[in-house]
Parts: sequence; structure tokens; C-alpha cells
Amino acid sequence: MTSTNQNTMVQPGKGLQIVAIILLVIGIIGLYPLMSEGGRAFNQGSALPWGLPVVTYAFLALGSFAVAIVNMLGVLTKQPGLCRLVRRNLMLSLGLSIGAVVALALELGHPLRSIWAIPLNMQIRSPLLWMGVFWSLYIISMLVALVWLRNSDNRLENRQGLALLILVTALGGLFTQGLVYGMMAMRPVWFGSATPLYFLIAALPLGLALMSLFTQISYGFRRDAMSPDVQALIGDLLPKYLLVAMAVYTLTWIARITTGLWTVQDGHHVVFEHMLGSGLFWFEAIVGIVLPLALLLFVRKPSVGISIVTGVAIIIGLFIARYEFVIGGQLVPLFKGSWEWGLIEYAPSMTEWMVTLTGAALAIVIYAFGERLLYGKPIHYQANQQAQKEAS
Amino acid sequence: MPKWGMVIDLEKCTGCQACTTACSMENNTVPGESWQDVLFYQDGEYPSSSFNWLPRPCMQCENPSCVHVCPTKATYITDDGVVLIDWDKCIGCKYCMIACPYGVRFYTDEKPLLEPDVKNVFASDRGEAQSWAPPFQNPNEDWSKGIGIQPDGVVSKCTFCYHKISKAPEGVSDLDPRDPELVEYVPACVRTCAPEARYFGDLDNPDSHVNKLIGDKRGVRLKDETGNKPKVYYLTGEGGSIPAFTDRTKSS
Amino acid sequence: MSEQPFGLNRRRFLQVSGATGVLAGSGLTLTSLKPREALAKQNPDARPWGSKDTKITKSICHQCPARCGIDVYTTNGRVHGIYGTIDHPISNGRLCPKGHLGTYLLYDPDRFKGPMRRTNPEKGRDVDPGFVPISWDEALDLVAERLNNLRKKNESHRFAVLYGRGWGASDAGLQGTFGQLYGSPNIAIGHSSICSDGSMIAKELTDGNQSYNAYDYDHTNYILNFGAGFLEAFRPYNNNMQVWGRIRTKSPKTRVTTVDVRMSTTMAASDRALMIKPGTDGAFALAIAHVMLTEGLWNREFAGDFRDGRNQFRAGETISPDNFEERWVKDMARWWNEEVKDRTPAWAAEITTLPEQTILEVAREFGSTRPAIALFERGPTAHSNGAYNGMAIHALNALTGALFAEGGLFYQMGPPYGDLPVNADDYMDDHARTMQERISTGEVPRVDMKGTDKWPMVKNMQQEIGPNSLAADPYKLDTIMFYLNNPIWTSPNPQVWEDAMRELFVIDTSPYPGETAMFADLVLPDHTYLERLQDAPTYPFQGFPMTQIRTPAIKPLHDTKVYGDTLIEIGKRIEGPMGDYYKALDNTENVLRHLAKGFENNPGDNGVNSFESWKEKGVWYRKPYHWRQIRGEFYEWDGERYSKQMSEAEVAEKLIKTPSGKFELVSTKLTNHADYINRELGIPRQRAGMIQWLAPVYTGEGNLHLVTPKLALHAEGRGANLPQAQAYIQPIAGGRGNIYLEIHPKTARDHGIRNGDKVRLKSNIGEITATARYSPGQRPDVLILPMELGHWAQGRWAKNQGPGHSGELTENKSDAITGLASYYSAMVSIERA
Repeated sequence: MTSTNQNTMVQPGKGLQIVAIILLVIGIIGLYPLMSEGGRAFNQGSALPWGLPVVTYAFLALGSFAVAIVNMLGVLTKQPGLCRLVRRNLMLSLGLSIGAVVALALELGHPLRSIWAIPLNMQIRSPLLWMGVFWSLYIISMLVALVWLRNSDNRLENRQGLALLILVTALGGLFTQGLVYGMMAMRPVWFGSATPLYFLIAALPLGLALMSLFTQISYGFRRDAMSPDVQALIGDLLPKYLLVAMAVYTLTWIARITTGLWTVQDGHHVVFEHMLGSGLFWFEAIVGIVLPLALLLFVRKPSVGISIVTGVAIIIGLFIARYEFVIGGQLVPLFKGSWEWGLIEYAPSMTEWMVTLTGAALAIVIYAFGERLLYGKPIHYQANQQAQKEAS
Repeated sequence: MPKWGMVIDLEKCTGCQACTTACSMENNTVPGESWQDVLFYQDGEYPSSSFNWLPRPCMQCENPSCVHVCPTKATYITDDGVVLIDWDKCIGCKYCMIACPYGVRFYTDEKPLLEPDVKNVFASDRGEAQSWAPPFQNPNEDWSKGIGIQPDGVVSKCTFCYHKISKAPEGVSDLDPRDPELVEYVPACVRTCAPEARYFGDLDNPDSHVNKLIGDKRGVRLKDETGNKPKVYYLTGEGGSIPAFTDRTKSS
Repeated sequence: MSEQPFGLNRRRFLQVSGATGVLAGSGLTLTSLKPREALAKQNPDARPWGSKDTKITKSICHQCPARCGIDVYTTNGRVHGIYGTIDHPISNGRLCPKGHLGTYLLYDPDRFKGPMRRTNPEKGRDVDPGFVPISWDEALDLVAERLNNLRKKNESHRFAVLYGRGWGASDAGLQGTFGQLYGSPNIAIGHSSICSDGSMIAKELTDGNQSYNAYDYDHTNYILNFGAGFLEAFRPYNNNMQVWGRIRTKSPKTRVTTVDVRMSTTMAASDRALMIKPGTDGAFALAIAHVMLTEGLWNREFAGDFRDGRNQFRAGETISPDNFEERWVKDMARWWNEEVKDRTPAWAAEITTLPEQTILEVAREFGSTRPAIALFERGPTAHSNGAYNGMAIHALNALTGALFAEGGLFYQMGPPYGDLPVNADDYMDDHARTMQERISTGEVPRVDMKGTDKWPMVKNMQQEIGPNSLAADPYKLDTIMFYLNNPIWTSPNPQVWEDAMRELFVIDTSPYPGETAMFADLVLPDHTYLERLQDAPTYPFQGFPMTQIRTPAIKPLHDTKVYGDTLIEIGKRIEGPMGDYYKALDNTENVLRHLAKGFENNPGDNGVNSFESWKEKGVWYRKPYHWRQIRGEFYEWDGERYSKQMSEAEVAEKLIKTPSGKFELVSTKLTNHADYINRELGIPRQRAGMIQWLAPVYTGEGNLHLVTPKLALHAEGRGANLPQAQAYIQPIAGGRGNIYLEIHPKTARDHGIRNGDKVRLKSNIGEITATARYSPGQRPDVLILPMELGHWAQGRWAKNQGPGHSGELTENKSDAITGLASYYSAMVSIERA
């Protein structure tokens, strides 16, 4: 690998930038009811405090952490494809984590207050404090890395400590995310020391799928635009990693459902029974699990199209999984008597969907523009092709 | 320093919800923001159906999970054992609502239960300092304790009427609403309870009436297995208990 | 809304961040660190509880008839708290759920702000009346002009005043004289026939007291409750609950059996909940009487005994009247022989659907526990057979000897009010005297036909007024005024009232824009209760005399006038001596000052002996009740104890006021109306007076009974616009701004109705919609829909919320004897909407 290669590496194309901007604009316009009516625009409420915005936050956060974990493991193990993509994947992690923070800020009652109130009060017993600690270090260390990488001669492989810091803070953030739910003894769907582990297992396929998808998007869906290292990563290695990650995830998924359906614990069984009765679950099972597993298993050299379909299916499936997890844990009414006759009924409002859209679109915008902002004008992939041709 | 606790005699409770409305007016909660709710449970089938109810204030736990999860220490426990929320510190993350096993916390910025929204009908003229301005607001206000008209975007909950009990004369064992000298210091729900199903007193004082009741009538705490250690005790007598959750939308 | 000067919530965050970029918010945190002192300075109201500015005023709650004394907390001219008065005999510092919500009634944003005149001649449900403000003088002159004109045309009877919750001598109490002086039999007609006349008249027919009872619950050991919502609505509700807390923890614990047609909090809290078929309570009561007699469980000291002391009551066998020596009960042998001997538990089980064994057990419990009270209200009496149901139940109080006994039931003494400054008799002009003559001879009947051959025994027939005026039978009214009364919504078949009110000049005095106000030509809004000066003697409570007073907690918020003063002001404007009478009366405060003079020689137990001390304490009362029956003998209070034994004549005069002076198992009054009863109810003439089983006649078409209970948060229709009440109103069916129709799942499935479906209820007179909720605890043959909701006016929260109004399914049929509207006899059909 030479510095030339890094300099000529393509940046996300105009198409992605335009789409991302449009989505972000739609999202922000769609948030108007939140501005005019506040929380009344949400369908979440005292009966079910954490709705789609928190689902979005968790989903984007997990995606960010997982991309960073895979990315940094690649750097630490000097995996050539991942080393080549390190800036872009850091940008993806950063975008996703900022999208997550914004989704959370849109859902918090007083987001700015949290900036001083959390550090000033140091409630060390709250996982949210540790979330803040890990998250801040995570973002700062990524920013440091990205800035440091502005010098095209700098290689993160040579700064293992920084890579390790990013890895550890991502893992810390991820596990703390799991703890936020896993510590809740009063919510049996969430409770348990395995919940953080479950979060890791569910995050890895998401991270790999996001990485695969966005890398291919930024190469204009063209393998031939990629350097051979990247080609090997996207065309061969990532599908294998994904297969393993999905297999482990699927086993965990089945184990969770089996436990949920079998248990007689008050407030646990009913949720899984309810979940299995919904179309959303079966959509998740078929599109989010069976389809990608089948594609990963049976398509030995996945084309761009196949790997895009696989990635999108996994991402959708894991979004649904986050939804079912976060919402499912709150479905059983706690001490509501016959005010709540059955499970709590919840369907996200349009404004809540706009929080999701805004968070996700912001992540893409940062990804699509980040490199240009940080590293100057993008080189269109055709230029890269030209360079390759000239080189060959 | 007393350790305030409440005893609710389910055998006496008539399920009238006066505690609910007294609380809602004393604390200016919006409809549905029921700090002191009465929960009803119907069971069985005609002609042998049963019907239970349970008044549910904040349990004011000794080991409150809500306090542990609050990232800003906005929710805290006072020296006299009352769990409060500092509305100046609350960031509205609602984690405490998630962590409360008793469902006693409310978010102040959500879809109104009733239209037209009382918050619009009695719109605040203090900007967003208050989420609404009912003309009958209680003159007591202390945001550091979650007392007063609630601002938007924070969590609210039962304060044991802290604005009253915190001014009680020192050393009293029980705040008996029948005592004209003490009545103003008694929490609204206890004060109004017509069948006198509620008692309020110092759990640290072995001579207090509340302790006697807990002893004599075997007071129990709800969901004791969560370890939260409520300071609200129930005398169940023939009053029954809380059934496990059943999805009644699917009942036969 | 203006911006808050400090703090940043999400909305503000969005606004700010929209301008400065999504992530550029960190610089704004300084703003959110602004201290809270800024707010405290802005809010002059932020003062501690009980500061020197907080004033406590004594008043009386207005949300039900109980008349609980309340302490109203006012700070800086704002009412912000209502609690029970600690030294008030009814409230004792406590309140029911409605009591606390009174501030909403005061600050109801939909209140009339002053007198209003209608400009739109068209009247209808969704027709804007086009109210325009008018001054009080103009408004009162307008009324007076109409009334003076009617008098000139000799048609003063065409002015009617209808009232609902009358409070005392300073409001409803002024109306009678108004009618006398003005010359109309229709001033004023009360609402008792749509309330609970069934129990009053059943008591009149048996023990001669046309009244509700006072009860000595604290000393009773058994309550057999027939259809009274003891823990939801039965008056005095607040005190009932206080009683409940005591009697259920005293030694021995008072046992309670409740008989009702639905599962309710009262039913659930009782030791036994008996779900009876609607309208069959009388059969159950007769079977209890049967068992009490056959098993020798009756109170011999009160009811009498066989001369030889041997019980000869055997099922199906007659006894010889000569063998039974009666004490305070009349016609025992005849009652047994002609009715009770066949009323076995097996017979009653067929009719009531209650198991025979249960009937037997309850009868034995009730008969063998003393003191024991049989209690009843609208449940058994709002049916076509209500009088007989009520009499049969009340007869149990005679059999158990509870009448006037410790732990039993008795009647209410009135307060020793002083005389008014003027006597109405001195102010009658020729017109008034002529009208008095024409009314007394029957030439001018009351518009509701009370006292005519149509309704010979009733107290009132308010539900007939709309239909009668519409049909011009006996005549069409011209002008009608309402006080605390909303018949266009509350009457059975209220649809007819809408047509009737289109033709009349309607004056409403409600402070709230109710349905009747929407048909009003003139609105003369009353103060809300926290703004009023008004007296209110107690409803039957514990017998001892008691009267309360409302004192304004706050100056009237709007340009309103207390109803008593409205009436006096109209009176002042009537030509002739009537105007002079009202000028002499001057105003309600003057009236109250004169009433309070009666306390000077009768100071209350709390020292009240004047108008001022009455206002300060809020209540005058003097314990105890003056009479008591002890082991079959009656005694009068001598100032220290019940020592003065009463003669039979004294008992007949003061306590058992029937023609016979005894508790009549065969009612003299009914016997006197045997022809009427035979005609209307088909009972053989010779049996007309007998306390007996009469099968109910259900109204409407359909296969399901419509049960329309009143719930704890139902503040007499005025509660409909209380958002808090709407939020918490329905415990059993789990509402939240909605009320569900409770239906047994089996019944629902038979009709293809799923849990949560919208359903349509139909009767012969109308249809309404509701949301069904499966309620397996209820009888499969009933549908339960509380009556609170379904307003089409009354304010923003009341309007068009929840299900339809049950009244629109209820045919206007009444018990021929008591005149009580048969609210609970409707049959309806149900289908998915």
C-alpha cells in the first residue's frame, strides 16, 4: 500500500450526498410537530416511556459501535482491506453515533441540560453516566484519529493505542447500552447479565452489514473501482464474517424466543406470545434472518446486487429486533390496573418516524460529506479508474 | 429525623378515588397524570366474579431503583426518606420511569389524555416555565423537590405532599388528619380518605400508630422481591392482593 | 406562548438548533444554567401553604345532595384547595372524589359570563343560540314583562319553574311563595320523580313518612342493601364511606349483603354480592320475610307475636288473625295469608335468578342478626313495580324491628329557622287568591297532572311536563324557568323535551352552557357554589337537626347573580303587592339573617347562635335525634336520655304517621286508590294495599336490560365538564376519558361483538353508540352503560365525549304509584356498529 493509493481512494458520490440531504431535509421538516407541540407529537408517553426515538438511538448506536469494533479489530490485526477503509469506516461510526445522539436529543426533555447535569452530578450508579463517559471518549478518540489521519502518511495501524482506545470505548458503550436494559429487574424481557452480550451479538452483523453496504455505495456499486484489498474484503471476507455473525446471532435469537415462550414468569411470556402473533415478527424472521442467512450460505461469491440485498435485509431485520426489544420490554403495564386492559398499545407517530429518519439521514450526511470536509475535494471514482488504468 | 411511611388498609378502602382527585388538585397534575392512582382488577365470571382495587401512591422506597438509574441525581431521596425529583436537573430521559417497578412516574410532555388539552385551555403565561397555568394552582412551589406546576419535559411523581409533611412539627409520631393541629401537614390523600384507610407516620418511631398497624395487622409491601423496600405498607385483610398480569383484551 | 427566559427543553432546543446548526448547541448551556431565583421573582403566588394571605372559608359542597362541609382555601383571590371541614358532622374533614374538583366548577372556562339573550329564533341540538350579552336590569325587566302580561291575561299558570338540586330556604325554598303570590301551581316543580321518589313514597305508604331515612349505621350489625350504590352514589356518600371504614373494622364487624344488577365497588366490598334480575328485588324481600316468619326470626317486640307464643307460620298454611297479637305492625295475618305464605325461597329463586340456598342463607343471617337494616334506593324502585318492591323491602325493617331503634333507621328533623320578615299571606292580591281557589278546586291542575286522576299519589311528575306542554294537555306553558335542572338531557326520552322547549320561552339559570341552556331564550346565570351565600339543611342523615351555609370563598368571577336574588329581583318587578313582598324581603342575605334568628334560642352544639357564627362555623346542628324505639316501646329525649315513654297517639303523630299509626303491611292509602291501582296495574281491588309481588313490566324492545348506574365521580351532570372526573370516572370498565359498555363475553359473542368493538344500542325510542368491553363479571342479560356521558352541550370536555346518552334509549314510563320514572326498566338490543 502506498500513500498514492490512499490519496486516490474514492469518496462517496454525489448521488449519496443528494439522497442524504433530501432525507435529512424531509426529516427535519417532518419534525415540525415536535417543535410546535412538543412531546404531544409522540405516541410514547407515561405508559410506554421509550418509543421509536429510543429504538432509533439504540439501533444507530449499536451500528456505530459495531462498525468501530470491526474497523479497529481490522486495524489492530492489520487486515489490509479494513486498514484501507479505516477513515471511511471511522466516518461511518462517527456519523451513526452523531445520528444516534441527535435522535436521543430529540427524545430527551432537556437535552442541553444533560451536557452539564450528567458530569456535574456524577451518579456513578447510573449506566447512563457510563454511557456518557464511554460515548464522549469514543467520539473524541475517533475525532482525534480522523484529524490525525488528515496527513495521508499517517496510518492508524501505527497508532495501536488510539485504535485500542476506540475499540475499548466502543465495546464499553455497547456493553453499557446492554446494561441500561439488562439491569432492569422489574422488566423481565430485558433483565439479565447476558443482555450486554446479546447486544454485542446483535450489533456485529449490523456493523458488518452497514460497512459492506456503505462501502459499496461509495464505490458506486462497482467492485472494479475498488482496490484489490477492498475487493477481497467486500467480496469475500465480509460475507464470511457476516455468515458467522449472523449464525451466532440467529442462535441467540432463537434462544431468546424459546426462553420467552417457555417461561411462566409474570410479564415475560405474554410479550413473546404477543410478538410472535405479529406480522412484524415474521417479517423479521423471513426477511431479516432467513433470507440473508440463505444468501450468505448459498451464494459463494455474492455479486454487488446480492450483497446489497443481504446487507439491507440484515439492517432491516436488526432494526425490527431493536424495536421489538425496546418496545417489548415495556409492553406489560406496571401497576396500571384496568386502566390498561391488555398489553400497552403503541404505534409510533409520524413525528417519531421523522426522528428516525432525521437520525439516520444525519448519519448518512456526515458519512457522505465528512471526508470531503475533513480531507478536501473528493476524487470521483472515475478518476480513480483512470488512475488504475494508468497504473496498470 | 422521621422516616415517613404510609399504611393503606385495603379492607377499609372503598375504591372511591378521592385520594386521586385530592392529589391531582393539591399538586395540579393534569388529567391522567395520576400520582395517586387507584387500580382496579376484575376477575372471575358471573355469578362468582370478584373485583379488587388498590390505591397506589409512590412507594417511596428505601432502596429506590429510580434513584440509582438517574444520571443527573435529579431524583433523590431526602433525609426523611422521601423520593423527590429536582425539576431543574431532570433531563427527561425517563430512565427512572423505566426503572420504577410500581409505575408511579409520569412524563410531563406527552399526548393529553383528554381533548381539548387542559394545558392549552389554561395556557401558561409564564412561557414554558410552567407547562400550564390552571387558575387554581397551589401556591406552593419548589422545583428542587418537584412541587408546583410541572414544567415540560421532566418527570413528575408523588412527593408524599412534601410541601406539607416537611413542615410538620418535630417529633410527631403520626400525622393524624383528625387532629386539627396536624391536619395541614397531612398528605392530601391521607387527609381526605373518607373510610380512614390511610395512615401516615414515622416508621422509625416504634410507638407510631403506623408501626403498630404494620405489626398488628401484618402489613405487607408490594413487589418486595425487587428489593426496593417500599415505605408504603398495605394491610390486606380481606382486601385481596394484586393479580399477575393477564391480557384482558383476550379474556374469555 | 412567550419564550421562557431560562432552561432549554426539547422544543426550545429544536428551535435554537434549527437556527444554529444541529450540533452547535453546547454554547447555549449557559442559558440553561440560569438560576431559578429568576422564576421565583416572576411568580408572586409562590408562597408557602397557610401564609397570612391564605384564607379558609366555610362552605358546602355542591356535587351531590350530601352537603358536606368544606374548607375552601383562597390565596390572593384564587381558590386553590378544597378539603372537608374537620368539625362538620357529615364531612368530618373528609371528602369524596367529587368534592376536590369544585375549583374546576368555579373556573370552568365555558361558564356564562353574564346574562344572555338569544338572537337565533331557531332552536335545536347543533343550532347556535346566538347569545348576546344583556344587562341584569334588561334581563329581569324582560322576564317581569312576560310574567306581568301572563297575569293580566289570567294565564299565570302558564309560567312554570322547574328545579333540580334545591338547597334550602334561600333558593328553592323561596319558590313556593313565589308561586302562591304569582298564582301558578307550577312554581315550583321539583325533580324528585326523576330522582328517587320510589323510596320516599314506599315509606309513606308503609310507615307514613314521605321521606328518605336517616340511618344509625354505626350501631348496626347487618346491612341488607338493595340496589343502593352505598360506596358510589348513595347519599351522604362521603359519610357512608366514613361509616364503612368504621363498621367494617368494629367488633362485631357489620356484615353487608348487597343486591344489585351489576358488579360494582359496593357489591365487591360487601360480604355477599347477589346479582339479581332487574326489577325483582321485591320477590327476594318477600322470600326473606317468609323465612323470617316461618323460622321465627322476626322481632316480636316490634311486630307482635302469637298469643300462645308458638310460631304458627308454616309455608303455604294460613293462620287465624285472632291468634296473632300485633304490636306496631298492622295486618300481619292478612299479609301472611294472602301473600307471604307462598313466597318461599324456591318461588323467589325462579323470579330473581338467585339460588334458593342463597336466599335462605341471607334470610337467616338477616333475621338472626340485630340490629339489622334493610336499605334500598332507586335500584328496586325505578321500575313499574317500584312501590311494591320498596314496600316489601321496607317491611323487613318492621320485621327486624329496626324502625326508630338504635342501629336502625328513622327520619330527619328540620332546623329551627326563624321567620321571614314578611308573611306571604299578607301580600296576595285578587289574582293570587283567585288562582289559589282555582288550583285547589282542580280547575287549574298542575301541568304535570300531579294529584289528578292521572297521577293521584305522586309527589311530582317533572318528566311529564315537556310532553304535556307539547300536547297541550292539560295546557301549553308559555314561559318556563329552570334552576339546577337540565331536563333536555336528564329526562327519560329527552328528545320530546327538545320539541316542547322549542315552543316555550325558556329561562335557564345555570352558570353552565348545558343542553337546556342551548334551548334558552334568556340565560340568568347563577353564581357557582363557591361564590354563593346560601343555606342548606341536611338531607336525611342521622336524624338530629342540622343546617349548613355556603359563604362565598371569592367574589363572583363574572356578572352572575345567586338564584335566590334572581327570584327576588323578578318578584320585585311584579305589579301589585307581590312586588312589595319581595321589596320587603330585599335579598337572600336578609332572608338568611332572619332564618338564623331561630338559632338564638337554639344554639348549636358547636356554639352557633347567630348569622355570623353560622357563617364562621359553616354549620348549625344539635344532637341527638329525639326519639327511640327500645324493645317495642317508644321514648322521647328528655335532654339527657330517652326516658319519656310515648303513647300510641304520640307515636302516630310524630313517628309512624300512617292513618292507623302502625306500620301498614296493607297500605290504607293504596287501598283508598284501589280503583286506580286496579286500572293501572291490574291488581285486584281488594289486594291493592297489600305489600305484594308484582312482576315488573320492562319497557322498550330488545332482549337485554340496560343498566345505567351513577358512578362515584358523577357530580349530578355537572361533573361532565370536569376533565379530572372524565379522566378517572370509570374504575370497573377501565376508562380514561371514555366509558365502556360492559357486556358479558358470552352475550357479546352471541351478537358477534368483539372486545373493543363499536356497538349500537337500540330501543323503541332511539339508538346510541358505545364501545363494548368484555366484562365476564356481569350478568349475561344486562348491558351496563353509566349515565354520565353523552352530552351534546355542557362545555368543551363534556361535549361529544364517550358513548351516547343512555336517557335517549329510556322510554318515559313511570311507576303509577310513586311516579318515579322507570329508568331501570329499559330493554335494548345490541349490534356491531
